[in-house]
Amino acid sequence: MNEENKGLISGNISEIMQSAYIDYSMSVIVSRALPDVRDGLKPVQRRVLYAMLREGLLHNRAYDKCAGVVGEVLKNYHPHGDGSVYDTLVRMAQPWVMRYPLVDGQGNFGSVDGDSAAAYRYTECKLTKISEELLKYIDEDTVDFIPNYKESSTEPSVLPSALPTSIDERFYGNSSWNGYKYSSA
Amino acid sequence: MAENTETKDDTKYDASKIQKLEGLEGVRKRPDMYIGDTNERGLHHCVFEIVDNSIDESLAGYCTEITVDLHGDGSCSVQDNGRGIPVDIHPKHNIPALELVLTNLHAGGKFGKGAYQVSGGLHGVGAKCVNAVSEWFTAEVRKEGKVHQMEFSRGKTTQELRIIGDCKSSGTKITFLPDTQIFTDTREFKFDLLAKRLRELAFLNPGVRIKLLEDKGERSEEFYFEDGISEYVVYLNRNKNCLIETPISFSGDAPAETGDGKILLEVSMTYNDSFSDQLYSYANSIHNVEGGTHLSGYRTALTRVINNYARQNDLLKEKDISLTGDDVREGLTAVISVKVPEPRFEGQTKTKLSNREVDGIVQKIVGERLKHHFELNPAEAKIIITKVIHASRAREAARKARETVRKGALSGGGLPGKLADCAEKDPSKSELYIVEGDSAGGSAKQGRDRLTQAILPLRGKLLNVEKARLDKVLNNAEIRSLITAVGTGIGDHEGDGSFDAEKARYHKIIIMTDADVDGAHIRTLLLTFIFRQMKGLIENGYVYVARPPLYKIKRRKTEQYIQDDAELSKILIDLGCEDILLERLNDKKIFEATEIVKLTDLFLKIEMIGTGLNRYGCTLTRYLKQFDTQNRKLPRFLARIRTGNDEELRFFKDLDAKAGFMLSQNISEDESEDTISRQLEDGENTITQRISLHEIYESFELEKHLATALDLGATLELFVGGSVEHDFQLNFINDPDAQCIPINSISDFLENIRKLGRKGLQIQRYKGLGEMNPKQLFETTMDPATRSLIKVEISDAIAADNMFTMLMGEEVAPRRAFIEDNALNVSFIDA
Repeated sequence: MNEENKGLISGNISEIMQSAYIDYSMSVIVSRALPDVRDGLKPVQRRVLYAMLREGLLHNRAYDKCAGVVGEVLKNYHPHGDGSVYDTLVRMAQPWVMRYPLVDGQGNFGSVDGDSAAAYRYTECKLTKISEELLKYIDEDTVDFIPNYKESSTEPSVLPSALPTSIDERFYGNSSWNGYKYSSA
Repeated sequence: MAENTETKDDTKYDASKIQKLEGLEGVRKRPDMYIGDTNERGLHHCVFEIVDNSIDESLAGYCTEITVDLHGDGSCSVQDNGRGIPVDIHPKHNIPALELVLTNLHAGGKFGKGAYQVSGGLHGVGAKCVNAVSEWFTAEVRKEGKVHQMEFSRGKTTQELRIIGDCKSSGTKITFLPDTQIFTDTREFKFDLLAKRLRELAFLNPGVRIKLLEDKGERSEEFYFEDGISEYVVYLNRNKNCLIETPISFSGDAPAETGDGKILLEVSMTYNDSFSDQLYSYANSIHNVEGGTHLSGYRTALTRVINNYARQNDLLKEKDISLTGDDVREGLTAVISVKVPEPRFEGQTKTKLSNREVDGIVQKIVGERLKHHFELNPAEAKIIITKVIHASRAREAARKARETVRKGALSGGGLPGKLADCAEKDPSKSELYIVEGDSAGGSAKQGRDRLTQAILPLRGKLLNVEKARLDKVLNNAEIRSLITAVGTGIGDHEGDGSFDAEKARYHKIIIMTDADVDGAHIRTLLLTFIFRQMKGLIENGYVYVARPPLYKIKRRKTEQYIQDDAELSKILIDLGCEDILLERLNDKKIFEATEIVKLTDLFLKIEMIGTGLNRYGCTLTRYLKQFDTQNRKLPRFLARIRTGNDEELRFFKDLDAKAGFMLSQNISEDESEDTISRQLEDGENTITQRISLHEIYESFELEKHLATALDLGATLELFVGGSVEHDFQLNFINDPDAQCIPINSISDFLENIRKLGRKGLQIQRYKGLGEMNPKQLFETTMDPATRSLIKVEISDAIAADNMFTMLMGEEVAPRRAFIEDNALNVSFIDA
């Protein structure tokens, strides 16, 4: 092997495509797009709620900046873009999307006309009473905890979910469960 | 062959220095001359040489089925049901004809017209060269009621012709293992490369069933095209919507200009609703990637016929401009096959046919037959021409779009602002890194070697070009900056802004995405764009995928980057071997570190090859128990006998033993390939007995490794297990107090070594390139001296085209099926 070809591997384009595509699509299916049937939440939603609980943003306390929540989620649980986290949070606070909002928002959280929410440095939030029901008894060894992405802490694999959220589809409004979008993957 | 090895000590140049290479030694000395090269191409060429012989047998009308089987140990067997190579004694040379054709150059049945009228074997050297470059090579011929067998090694006969059984069928089976002494780079057969050629052979030779099997990966494909190329056209469109129901197929012939043969032409074509064309041209069964006179003749005739028909039938008004070649080719799939008695090719790679007269002949035949077809089927003609007219309008719109875009960025507008160009102006020395996101772009830009490395960060997910029309594609900002940076233009149409590989500003275009799943997605999107619009870049070998490290391991104070899982497992083994001693208890022999490494290596190989045995229902330990310590042989055959609910395995060391067993069980050789089922009388009950016989292709490799391991001091008990008392233990060098670990078997050994390797190790999995400092990124991924790249190649363009349509196209159902079928092949899931 000459100097030029050092460290060079040849790869067939079909195989490169197949393996990359399977990794991506399976990850989207398994750990991104589908809500868990037990608590009706997608991983990113669960992480937002859990982070808010750990931040102490209970329904009977004061509002705090959304930026703090987004930061906490990114830091400890969800190593992806900030946009996806904040969008999730905003959506959970919109009463025209959720029959029972899981987040209580203070400030501009958008409108039914499609106006977008204010940036997270302006808005504030806390949990609603009903979402605390989802998190109730989480520290009583009710659910399994798994290590977070950097193995510095743990997160719940599912919420205790005292309410039958995924059975009653009205709970989350119309499209929490989009079906897996094969076509858009 | 002693005379050519004589050497004299003096340096005089005399007759003794002149060598005549005897027999096949010449092939071994200069393999490149006979099989092309000793890399991947030559390796696969060996299989095709053997298959070509079987194809010739089918052209002569005697063979209907060819099976190519890739075995777990790296060997390959090709079996046909033809007449079988003659085995009788040759009248002149006094050796069996089989031996003659397999060991003597320029011996064969294709020189006279006695045995074969036409033959596809253009390479001419055939099986004997494969024999010469094989570590071992066995030929099994079924002919005239007997099974004959011969064995060779590196071109020399090791087992004379013998009869090993009876049979009712006929055929030839060749099994060979490529020689490591010749194929130093790679010895691994690639399924896709073989599949591509075998598929072509199957459709160019209708009626032959060609099977390709892989023992280890359990992949298999069967190629059988009853209708030849028209079925092939259907195959090319299996994931697409065809506009007409059955492909338009016709054939014709005309006398050749030179020689006294005829030029035969076969054409099959159809239209689908996609925007790209697929044209495949073959001359004498060789795929001409660059086309040639047959393709140009076909194109000319097609454009003319469609234009004439459209005008005559008022589908195209007088004031409309004529349809161009680009228009009539949108959505076209066509296969053109010509048989020319004396083909001439351009260039060294024979990818372009250059016989002048072919152009005119093809034009004439296609012109007549296609016109005829349109007149008989006006409805079909109308559908096709409507499609072509739509294409023409869309092309006009796209041209306008392109012109607008061109003013902005496509040409002359300077380079995109985000591109951090390199100082070097010579494309062959320049590299372009396409980086995911600005975060990684910054690292790459600061860390790069600015003399030769340019960086282009792309934000977010690229547009999926498979689902978008050209004008939308061209309006996408990221794609525009990519096109301008690369500089080649896009598409395969003529005119301004079309693709031209000469204009490439870099000869290495390296896709560097994060090692997470979104990175994988962006990789697929980028490859889709390049494959669809800049395919020439891949064909020229300009496209690469960077391999950023997947793990960083930290042990005490040292840090190390790990490329992939295989490397991680190797490092764990290496680390595990440190600080330990292996002790053989019965004589207190202590193995040294180098010996341990060697043993571990052998154990790993044996373990890996051994997994293939599971498919015969036999475990590795059970098989290794059969090791014949005196002759150092492992059984070659295995019979699996299932009587009622009891299963029994019987091993046979060679063909004689197997033949004896078959005789005693009244099984004739014909049935040996399949499972036989029969009813046994047992008093009043009847019990079903099923016997399946298998050849264990792994045996040679396994016995070789096993013997080496035993020579190094391992005992057979390690491999077969069973002893309650352990014979070996692992001692710790630096820690005399630590408990010794008893070792009972090789799996025990490997498991403990891996566990030790993991001790005190911190393993971090990288998620994004931005996690690394610029310097780290350069050292691990971009430094030309140390980096590792994957060169993107298209080994099977048809399969690749189908793959892109399926993975990235509009149709959801095939993609869903693909994901369901391959869900378990996922290599990692991002949480």
